[in-house]
Amino acid sequence: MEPEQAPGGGRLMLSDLPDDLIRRIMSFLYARQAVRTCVLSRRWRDLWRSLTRINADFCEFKGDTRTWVGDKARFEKFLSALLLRRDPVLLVDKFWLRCPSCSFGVCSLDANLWISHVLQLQAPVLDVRSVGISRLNQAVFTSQYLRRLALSSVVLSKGFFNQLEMGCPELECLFLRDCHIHDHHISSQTLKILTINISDFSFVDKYDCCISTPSATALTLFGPQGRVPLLQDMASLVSASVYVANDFSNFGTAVDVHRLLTSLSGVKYLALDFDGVNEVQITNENNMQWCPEFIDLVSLTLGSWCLESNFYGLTVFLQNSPKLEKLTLKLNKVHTRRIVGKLKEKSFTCERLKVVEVICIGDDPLVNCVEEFFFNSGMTSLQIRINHLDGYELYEPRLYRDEYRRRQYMAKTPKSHFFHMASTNSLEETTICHRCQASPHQQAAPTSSAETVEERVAHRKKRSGPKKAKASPNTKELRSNTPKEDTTRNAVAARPKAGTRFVGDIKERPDNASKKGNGAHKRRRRQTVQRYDKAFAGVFTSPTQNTPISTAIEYHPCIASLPWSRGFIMDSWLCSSARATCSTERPCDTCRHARATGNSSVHAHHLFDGTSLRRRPQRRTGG
Amino acid sequence: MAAAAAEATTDGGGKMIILISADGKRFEVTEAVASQSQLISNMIEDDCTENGVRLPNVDGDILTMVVDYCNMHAGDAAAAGDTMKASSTEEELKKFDAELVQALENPVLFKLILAANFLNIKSLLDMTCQRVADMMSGKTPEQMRETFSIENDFTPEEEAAIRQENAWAFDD
Repeated sequence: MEPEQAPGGGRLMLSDLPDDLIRRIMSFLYARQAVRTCVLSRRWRDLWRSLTRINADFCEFKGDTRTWVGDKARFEKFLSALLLRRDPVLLVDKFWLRCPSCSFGVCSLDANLWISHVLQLQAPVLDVRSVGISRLNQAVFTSQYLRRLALSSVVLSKGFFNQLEMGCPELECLFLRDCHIHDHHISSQTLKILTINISDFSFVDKYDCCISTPSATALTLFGPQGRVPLLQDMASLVSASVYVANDFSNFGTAVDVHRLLTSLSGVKYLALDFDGVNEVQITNENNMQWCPEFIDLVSLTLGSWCLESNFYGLTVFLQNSPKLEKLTLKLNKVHTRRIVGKLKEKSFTCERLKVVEVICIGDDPLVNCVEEFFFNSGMTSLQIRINHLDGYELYEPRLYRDEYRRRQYMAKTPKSHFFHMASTNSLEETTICHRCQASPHQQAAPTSSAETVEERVAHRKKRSGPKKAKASPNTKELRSNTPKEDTTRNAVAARPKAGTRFVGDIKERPDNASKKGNGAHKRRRRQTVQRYDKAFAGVFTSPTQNTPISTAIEYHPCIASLPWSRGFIMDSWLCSSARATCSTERPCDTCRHARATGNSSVHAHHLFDGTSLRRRPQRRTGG
Repeated sequence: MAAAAAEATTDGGGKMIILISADGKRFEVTEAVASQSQLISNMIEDDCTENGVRLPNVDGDILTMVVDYCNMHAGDAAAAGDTMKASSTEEELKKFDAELVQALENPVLFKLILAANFLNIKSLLDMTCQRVADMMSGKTPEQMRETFSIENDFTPEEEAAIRQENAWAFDD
């Protein structure tokens, strides 16, 4: 395409770019901002209607009204209107949704509608995040075009993965974060990339959750909680990254290291970290058996657990990885004594080992030991690279750091500044996307080129309308009643009314977060959480309950002492924890146990028990 | 005319390609670097790069940036399969990218967008578009007009009507 030259050879301006480039720029904006460009000039008036990427962020609406419920209503109204009024012929390339959570146990009607609507529009990429845990109707995940699905803070109930396998036959990439997994079998024949981060498996009753994805080439399992899922069929796995943390909900759960490693033994790239996993016991009797032979392993990344008892774990790994070329050691200062043992034979032969990279925080004395270890085995100093990092860069993947920063920012920044930060975050995400798309497993990644859209438009035109209606009757309503939009708007606006009844409760939210100078961010977050908490109080109530409730909000001592890296991820939990039975004076058994054992955490079951929450509203006197 | 040079090979054995900017500047890059551009990659497949690739839409200054970017990211694409790649290089790349777009003046940024679009380098295009989006976000329409010198060709009544029509996106 011939780029337009600036008229008269003057300075090139945004207006000189062709429409499709401007649309491309706009597709990086959050939805409301994108729509608001319509008043810029005549040319911009309808550009938003033809965007094929929709980034709808509830956080954009946060603080619009004085209440969470009000913000939620605004957001719902906005997004429904947007989906109704955008150009109905154009398909969707990517739908990114951060939606407000719904009450426990109840599906978020709007979210289901939106998702099913964009899936009808053949969206190949879907990213749904929830602010606070949400349930989605699993039946909406029916699309033969969906290739990449990311879900955050969503409850995946029984049968979800089965539905996904049946309903989305083209799904290649699944990314779960902070999800509650109730399904005991994650299986897919098509999935190529599977990532499960900080998800809770403790809901799977009786059995461990099994993962069998025979076509998957890349697996990331970061900090599973409750239980560590069993990896059953991983026949095509090339790269795997597994991090099992010393998680509070992993009390007394023994991780079957042997089984875990055996299922990973075919990989070429492996990153493995146990961060003080409880009860991993390697005794001298089954000394060598815990580690299988990694025949194809080329690149290995291990945490500092492998250096315990005189580099025991490391030596065993090196002895079992004949083709290893690159070794990376990530040292943290919290040393764990979990995998210990003694070796009679300490030598190893890794003929192809060329590079050893050590990543550590500041000046770790262990680095010298590591260097000595490899010098003794005949490596030169040129082959050993040492990388000093500071702070938490080592532990937390970029994604979580950003999310943490964003939240921190949101808690203390007036609304107008928020956008910039948010979009920085989305830049990160696109970077990640590029990488995914560049990776060999994803050559077939969806593109947003005009051709594809046209192709799909044509295809869609061929397919008859009734079929869509059959898949989801709700969506039909959303799509087809453009002339009657007023009624829809009213309906959308009216829906949260049940909740607004409780606005009175929320009004005395601590609104002084911004006034109070620069107090510790922890305090700010706490206030935000409390604010949310009150908002949730309204949402949690069942429609039949007439008396407004208020909840005794006591910031839980156990939560306060959570490490920051966990705390922010668990925001959704905080709300429930405040309502949990225990208080500072009278901790419940689980928390008492947690404190007695020095484990600064609360049990997951205890926190997530939605039913117990609803049972314990306190009648508000005079409310 | 540049046939001999274009056929020259480096020590690494990769075939070299010559890119010629609108103002006649010549850039010699390896095939691996150049093929990050889908346009050039297609030309390589069709074997029409012998006499150098003329890029009449791209100025020398802009092409310098594009070539720098491609050089930085050439290794990246090759090693993309290696997910356990050292994080340092990844960080370096990010830093490089950020510095590349942060400092740019608006007209240069738009030229870079046009070049990335013309050469069809998706990652560069996304990065530069993202930069413009970042500059837009958080701004009111008035501020946006000011930043990007967009002329408001609505009458006040028209603008009010549009705001009214899309009130669902404007209510504060």
